[in-house]
Amino acid sequence: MNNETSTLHNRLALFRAEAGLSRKDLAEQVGVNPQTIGFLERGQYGPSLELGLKLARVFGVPVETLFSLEPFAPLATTLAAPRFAEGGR
Amino acid sequence: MGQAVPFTPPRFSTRRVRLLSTLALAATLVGSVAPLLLPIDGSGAQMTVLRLIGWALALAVTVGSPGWRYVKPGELDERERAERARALVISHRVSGILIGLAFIWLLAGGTGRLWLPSAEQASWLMGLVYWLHCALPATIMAWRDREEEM
Repeated sequence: MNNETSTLHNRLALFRAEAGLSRKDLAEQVGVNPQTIGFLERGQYGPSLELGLKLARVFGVPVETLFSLEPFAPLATTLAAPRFAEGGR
Repeated sequence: MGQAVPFTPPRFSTRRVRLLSTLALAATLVGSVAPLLLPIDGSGAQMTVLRLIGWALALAVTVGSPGWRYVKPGELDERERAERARALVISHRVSGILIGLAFIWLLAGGTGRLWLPSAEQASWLMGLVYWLHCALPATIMAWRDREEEM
């Protein structure tokens, strides 16, 4: 099984929380078992391309916004970056 | 035209499969192996009933969870299919090892230097191996699954 221990990083939990969706809600929208959403969020399972695209469609973002081969920067760093770029105000 | 399905098996919860598989393994193991190691009458009513209970529980695990049994198209999502494939591979290896050990035991026992079970005792052990083979995929899947907060 090549996607059992995934090296794929994702922001699924972040997007799901922001959208106010439960795992069950999200699972129903993409047609998987709710437990699978948990496995995806913990990085214990790498989704197929089809499932990745379905998840990205739910949140209305490109798939690379949700999944990455490189670790995502921490949210605090990402949020702070534009302020520093504007002159550190 | 859709094909009529004669029997739709139930799907037990993860918790139930864990419980049933533990009880099945305990009952079958004690009922099959204990009479060979301890001064217990394996043909007696108690041990026979214990083995039957173990086999019935193993049957319930096998039928009530998507492991060894037939799975309808669309019944499992892609992760569950991957988990099932993994569990089947592990079970296949375990069965292969057990059959191999039994083969070696028979070969060594044939020389008269090693104790061999009687036909009745061998049938208990064969039952243990058979039900282990059937129930192990579902058991592995259940123990790898997690109770999720939904």
